[in-house]
Amino acid sequence: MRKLLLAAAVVGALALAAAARPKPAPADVIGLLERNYASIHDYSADIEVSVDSPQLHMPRSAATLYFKRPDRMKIVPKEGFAVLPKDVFPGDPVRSIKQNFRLERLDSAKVGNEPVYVLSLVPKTTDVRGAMKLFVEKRRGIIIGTDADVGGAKFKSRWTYARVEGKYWLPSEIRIEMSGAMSTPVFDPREVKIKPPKSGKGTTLVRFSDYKINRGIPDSVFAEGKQTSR
Amino acid sequence: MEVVVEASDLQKRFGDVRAVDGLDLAVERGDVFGFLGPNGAGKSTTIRMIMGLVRPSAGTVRVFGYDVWRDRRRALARVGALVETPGFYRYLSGRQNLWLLSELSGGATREAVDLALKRAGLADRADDKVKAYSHGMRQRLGIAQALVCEPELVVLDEPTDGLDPQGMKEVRELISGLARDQGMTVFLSSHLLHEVEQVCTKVAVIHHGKQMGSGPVAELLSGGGRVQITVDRPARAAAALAKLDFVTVSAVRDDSIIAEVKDGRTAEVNRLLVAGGFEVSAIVPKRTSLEEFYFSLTGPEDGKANPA
Amino acid sequence: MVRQIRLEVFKLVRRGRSYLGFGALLLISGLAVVALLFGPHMIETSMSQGFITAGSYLNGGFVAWMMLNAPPTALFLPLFACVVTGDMVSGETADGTLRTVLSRPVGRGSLFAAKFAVSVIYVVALTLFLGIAAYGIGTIFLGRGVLVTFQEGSMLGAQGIYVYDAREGLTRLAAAYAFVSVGVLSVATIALFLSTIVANSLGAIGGAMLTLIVFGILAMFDFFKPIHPFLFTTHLDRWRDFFTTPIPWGEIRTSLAVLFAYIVVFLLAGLTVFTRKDVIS
Repeated sequence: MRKLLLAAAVVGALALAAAARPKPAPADVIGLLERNYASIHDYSADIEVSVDSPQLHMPRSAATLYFKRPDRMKIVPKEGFAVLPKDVFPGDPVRSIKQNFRLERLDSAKVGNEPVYVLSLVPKTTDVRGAMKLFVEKRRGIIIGTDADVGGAKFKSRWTYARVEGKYWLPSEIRIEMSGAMSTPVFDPREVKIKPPKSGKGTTLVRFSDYKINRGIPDSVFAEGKQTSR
Repeated sequence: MEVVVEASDLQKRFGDVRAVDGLDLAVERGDVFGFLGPNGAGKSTTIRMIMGLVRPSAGTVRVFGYDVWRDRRRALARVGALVETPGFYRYLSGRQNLWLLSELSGGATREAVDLALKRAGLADRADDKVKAYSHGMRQRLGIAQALVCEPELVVLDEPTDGLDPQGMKEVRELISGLARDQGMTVFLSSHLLHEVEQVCTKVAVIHHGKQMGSGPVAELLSGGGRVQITVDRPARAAAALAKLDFVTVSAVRDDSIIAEVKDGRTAEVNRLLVAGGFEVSAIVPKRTSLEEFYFSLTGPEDGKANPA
Repeated sequence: MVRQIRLEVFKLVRRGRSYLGFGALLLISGLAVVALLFGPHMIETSMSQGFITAGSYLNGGFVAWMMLNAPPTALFLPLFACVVTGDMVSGETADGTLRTVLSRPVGRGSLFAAKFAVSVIYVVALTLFLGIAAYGIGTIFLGRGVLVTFQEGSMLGAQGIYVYDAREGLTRLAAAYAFVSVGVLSVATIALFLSTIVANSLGAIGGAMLTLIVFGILAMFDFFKPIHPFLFTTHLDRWRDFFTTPIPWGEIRTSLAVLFAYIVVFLLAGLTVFTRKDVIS
């Protein structure tokens, strides 16, 4: 009987402690992400992008992504031209999120069996697609997906990770599923009329490989020669 | 004798206009055949039908026995022609034009081309572009292209058009030589009666699309018994001859009479005139000129052919 | 007939106007590269909302594609082809060379066939030259790379953007240019036919271009929709489908069939007229 009461007291205390623990704020979740990337000063990675959507069809676009703190980023296409969806927050994801979004509410959920924070992001700039939900895995403090709903078009990304150099969790593949109207109306001079936006379903696949972390990328890599446009 | 060009009841209508109306022609091998007629008579249309440029409305035309429309390759295989003002590629030289045209006929050796240019008097200008040629030079080149492949039949439509007198003479001599020395048959259409009379062995006259007369030149122009009698008092002598049934007086001149005497009885005419007290200076056979023959068929008001 | 084709080619290469089209298309290609180097081109704008772009899609392949897309090409390429084919018979009629040539032992049918064969050679050469010149000049000044194309819109805003790697892009460009040559040949054959019935080449060239323009206008209006499938102008643009994925081969075959039908019909019509016509000029 005594043991039972003791156990109940311990459980009760733990529950009270848990209840008394303050709920994390959106900024805390960002802090969780920052810790994951904190020790990365620079990196490069080979990226391969394929897009199949009503607006854009691109079987394969290969490039090398360079990043150096605080904010230098360069994408060097392997065949003259490459694209990278903004949904992957290239470079420093945390900086990109902080720069372009206002952090609003925070919820919890589960993706599969994995507990996640769900952060609602509201755009601060017009440089991003629109408002979105960011899914951050509680266990590892990594982004595992986004959901955006922009004027009838839905964008859902899911991130897969690999352990790089034994310590860094970095994306190996990001899959973005799209549906709805994905572009703006355009004037077609051939048919002499305004064509409505393209709509339908599509998939973008971004693969990352051959990460090189903290090798000391020289500044000259980021020098002139307009390689990247935002 | 082989008939090289044969037209049988040849007809051509352009709308309501009958350009050629039932023409029969036969050109034998070795002939230098003159084809005469006033402007609009149907000469060019006939020549174009012979060359397969114009389709007959009725009738047939055969060259070397082949129907020109049905079998033009064989019909024209041994023919060289100059049809009206010759057309050449102005951006090519005379030599290139000649080479190209000869290739269409199966080809000619370089030497043959050179010879044709030389005979046409164009050896010095052979490599100049045709657009720099004068009208006369183009005419010469036209004759050259008709002869370059050594044809057996040469069809020449106004070959001396645009040539100076020296050039005309050379062409006449060339035409005579073609038949005489090279055994070619020549079909010649010309306005120049004097030229035709000099070179042709046979003539045909076409008028309003119909053949008005034809035959060997020697026969047609032989006079057939016409004589010129030089006599004193021609008018009285003519009156005396008019009573004779074998004499027809056609003209009385100041010092002579032109009359047709049948059956060769000119000696009798002489005797009768002398017996009648007339002084007969000469009785000379009078040939018909081609001009006279031509105008007798076409009529003077229509005849626009140039006698000289 | 081989000999006659050879002779027709001989004439063609020695005539100044044969090179008019080549010179003009070379100039247009050069101007296009200049426009790309210095002018506005905001295809990225269409993608900017969702994508970061890197590098430049401006390269030889893009210039070659753009030349097909450019409105002047749709007009000038058939025009320059018609300048040659519209002169094939009527020009010779006016000059008197037809009379000289047909005084030779050549079959009218084989002569006309030779002229058509040379028309084909010229049209194909002209079209391919455009592609090679555009690709070449573009590559010299802009380099090589992926081929970026778009199905709708314009350089200043596009949809249906298709991107291919350099090798695949080149293959698709070659196929598209081959298709375009068939389209140009259809107009050129109309000019060749008209050349047999009019006495001067200007009439033949003008007639063919007028047909192109009128049919093109008919193809624009929904009122004439029932006849659209039968207008050759409806099918001239089918080259664009070589830049979609998947390529609609069925529709391409249909368009080729229509264009070839026009070619055959006008070829036979021209042949019929040519073999029967009186050469009276």
